[in-house]
Amino acid sequence: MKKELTIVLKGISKSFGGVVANQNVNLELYSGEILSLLGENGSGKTSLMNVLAGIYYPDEGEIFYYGERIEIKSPADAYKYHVGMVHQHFKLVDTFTAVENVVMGLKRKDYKAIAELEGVPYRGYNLKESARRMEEICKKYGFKVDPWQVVNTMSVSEKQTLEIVKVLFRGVNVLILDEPTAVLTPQETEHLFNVLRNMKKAGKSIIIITHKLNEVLEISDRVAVLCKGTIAGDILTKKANEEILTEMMVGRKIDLNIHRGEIPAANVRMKIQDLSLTNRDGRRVLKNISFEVNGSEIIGIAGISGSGQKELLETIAGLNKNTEGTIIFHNPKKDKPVTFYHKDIKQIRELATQNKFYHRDDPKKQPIDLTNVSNKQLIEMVNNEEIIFYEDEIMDLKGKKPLEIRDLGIKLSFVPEDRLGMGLVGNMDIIDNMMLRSFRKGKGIFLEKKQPEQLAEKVVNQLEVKTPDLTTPVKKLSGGNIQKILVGREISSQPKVLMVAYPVRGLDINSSYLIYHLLNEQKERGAAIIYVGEDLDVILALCDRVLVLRDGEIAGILNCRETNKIEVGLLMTKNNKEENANG
Amino acid sequence: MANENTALRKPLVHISRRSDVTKKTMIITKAICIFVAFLLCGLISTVVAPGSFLDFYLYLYEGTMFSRNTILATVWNAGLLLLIAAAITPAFKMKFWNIGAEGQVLMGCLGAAIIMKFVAPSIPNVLALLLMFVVAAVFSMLWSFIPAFFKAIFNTNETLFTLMMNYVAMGIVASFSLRYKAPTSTSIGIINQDTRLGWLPEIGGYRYIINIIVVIVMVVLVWGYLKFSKHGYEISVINGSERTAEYVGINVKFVTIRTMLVCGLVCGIAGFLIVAGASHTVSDVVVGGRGFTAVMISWLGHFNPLEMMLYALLNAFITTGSNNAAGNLGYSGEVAKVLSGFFFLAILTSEFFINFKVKLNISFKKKDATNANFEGGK
Repeated sequence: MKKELTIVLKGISKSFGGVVANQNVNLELYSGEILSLLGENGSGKTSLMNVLAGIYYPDEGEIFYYGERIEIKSPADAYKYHVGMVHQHFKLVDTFTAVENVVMGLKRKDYKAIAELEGVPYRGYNLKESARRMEEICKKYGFKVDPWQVVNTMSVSEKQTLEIVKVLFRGVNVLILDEPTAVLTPQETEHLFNVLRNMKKAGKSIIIITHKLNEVLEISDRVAVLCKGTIAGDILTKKANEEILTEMMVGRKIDLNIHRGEIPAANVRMKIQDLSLTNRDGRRVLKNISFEVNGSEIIGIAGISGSGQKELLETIAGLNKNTEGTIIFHNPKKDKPVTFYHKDIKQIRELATQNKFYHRDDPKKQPIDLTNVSNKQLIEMVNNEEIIFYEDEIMDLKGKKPLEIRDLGIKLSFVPEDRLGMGLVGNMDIIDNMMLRSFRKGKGIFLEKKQPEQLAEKVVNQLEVKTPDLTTPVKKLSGGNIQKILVGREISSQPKVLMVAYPVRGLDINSSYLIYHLLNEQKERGAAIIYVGEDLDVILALCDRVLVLRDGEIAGILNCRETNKIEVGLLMTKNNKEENANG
Repeated sequence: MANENTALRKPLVHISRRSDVTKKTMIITKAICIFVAFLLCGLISTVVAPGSFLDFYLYLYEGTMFSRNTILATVWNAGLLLLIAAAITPAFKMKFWNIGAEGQVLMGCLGAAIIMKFVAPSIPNVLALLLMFVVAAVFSMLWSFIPAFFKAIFNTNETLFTLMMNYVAMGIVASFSLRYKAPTSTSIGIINQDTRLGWLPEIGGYRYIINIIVVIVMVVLVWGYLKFSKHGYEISVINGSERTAEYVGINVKFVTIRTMLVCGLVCGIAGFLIVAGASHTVSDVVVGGRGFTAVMISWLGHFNPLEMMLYALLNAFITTGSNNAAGNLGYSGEVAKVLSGFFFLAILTSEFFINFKVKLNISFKKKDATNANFEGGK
């Protein structure tokens, strides 16, 4: 087929307030090609495509459609020129059926226009006819969607398919997909790519926005790389490789290896047994979860989104009620002196009755009897570090609130998925965010800001946070810098257990590797790390073991050094499909 | 394809967010908007009472700044607004939309008035004042505690709840004044008019001095509470996100109730000042809608005490002044309310022009499109 220029973007600029999203971008798209728009988060990929899809109106620049200058003021205008976009976050009405979602907003004249475009006779304006046409489209490209299925019963990949069908139904020549594989398993991704190849054969042009290099190399014909809002270059895929593309994206060479250290002999830090959670709607979101986390180990948690990853971490952190099972924490206290930092005299008395102490100078480590020692003497002994823990503390954290866990002296850190909605307060400055966990320290009703300020300075310097000063509200910083502040705060307490959820989501390559490096450092220090991630390649390279969650249950625990992406991907979905087939 | 004219037509109004708003732009934009509202007031007055454009401003001046007494009255009016605005600010800062200040202050007034009428004649004056203050605070805190408690336990909607509590308070106070009204009147009248028991003393022969001092002290205290205390920090965290608060172990329910009790305390002080230091009576209109105006002042002032003070002064100035103008020019006092409404609209409008740049695409000829730039504040 002869390649024609379909869309040309010329000198597109768009800024939001002081933030320049795109600056003088030129882009060409040919018919029958798959163009990858590659770039780091925040490089302006999505906003550029939103300009083409009519969501944003550009501040400057021109758009040409088959050589003709056009103005796109709304998504309806975009469809007039047969441009359709599938957004990263689905725009579907959950309580409607598939076909209702597809026809939403279409008028009789649109149906006539579509029929004219496709060169078929106009056959009516109703749901039944629409469902028939939907099935036609599915058959042509190899989709599987039931027009009469209600959206809220669909899986993520079915919703994605529906979004694509919705766009195709409107008769597009140019299809834009924003991060379509972010929520898909490797198998589903492969299927989507096959569909895209079919569409390409049918002469459609496809723009796929992504930041995953391997996908770019697999699916596209040509790659346009965006960097800081401008086009850094455009290259035929067959001439490209990962190194070249990274260099174009980042502007310099980067070492793409994660250096995973070997793990010493297992020493259990946390043991989770038969953990179940019922959420507010009465649905069981975690079902009989049992696993162990060892010190000096990173355990990865994989699963399609919404399989209970978030709930698992939040339950361990003490944020959920209605839990069953046990979360046993082995607090490594053995051969260490007790302090009044986390224990009061009453707690020490209690531990003494359980024979938890021996005398510092006793080589045989015989438990000592403290019943006849007065409080005053005991305080002195503790302050002089004379009494030493005989063994590790074993505690059940289930049902304990975050503050109670902290009061027990357990150093459990948690980097939540929602950085500004949970881990940090966007409107507060860096110093105030540093004291989120420690602001209660000190007597009196007023805040003590000196230590948080020192910590803020330390984190900013060590993690190279780019900020004008320490009093800048954190929401004004970039995603990578925000994450550095959050991770920096959480590891500053030298945690025994560190839980991180999607720590590199939205981060540029450089910041991502800095985070991996920090996690490895914590692992070497002896921390037990639970890492929830979405990129299987990273999980397999970074973690020691991977726990696959499926629908709130453990589908399997694999050794990362011995497994591969396909195996993990299969575990993520296997039973679901069987159940669907049966039900 | 669609014809060329429609295809190439740009959107008529292009609104974009301003990148960096300087203090200067902010002040100039606000000043212009307030000035325009000021001019509009004169024009409206001219429409209602023909030919009164200049007279309006004369009466505005006369009603507010003519003598020391009028100045003090205006400042006290502003101060009361500011105090109530400061009272609700802690709740607003944690996104607890307390629009029940009217009722909370009114209950404080009632508490103070009860002591003033029934207890003050039989105990020393200092003790009477102290007791009035305590009872006013307890009444107000009760009125703020109830919606907070229901919000914390049953997650009721605090906006509707506090609004409703205003009318309950008004009903209670109306019943009270009906029960104890003066024999020849329909209201309770000035309490202890002859003995001045339970009245705050006048300093140097001027009223309101003590009131104004208390207001300033309280506003500074509330500001310090929010900015430097651990409680204030907890409020800011909850304002950021309740999830964050839970994540770091802040008990949101407890903080909700505690903060509303602080609101109630300050409202109680306002009620005490009204009864002991200004009106010396109680009726269902003694707060006069200030509890609602204060909501706007707190909100438009971005919880910043200086900005809130400016708007409170502006509002008191316009309300008092245009009431005077209305009386002298012979039109209804309702017009005065309309005029003070203009100022709130002006401040709101300035917020829009401060945050957004408005660009109009007006084409005077078909092919030669000319862009006209209208930027607020320039």
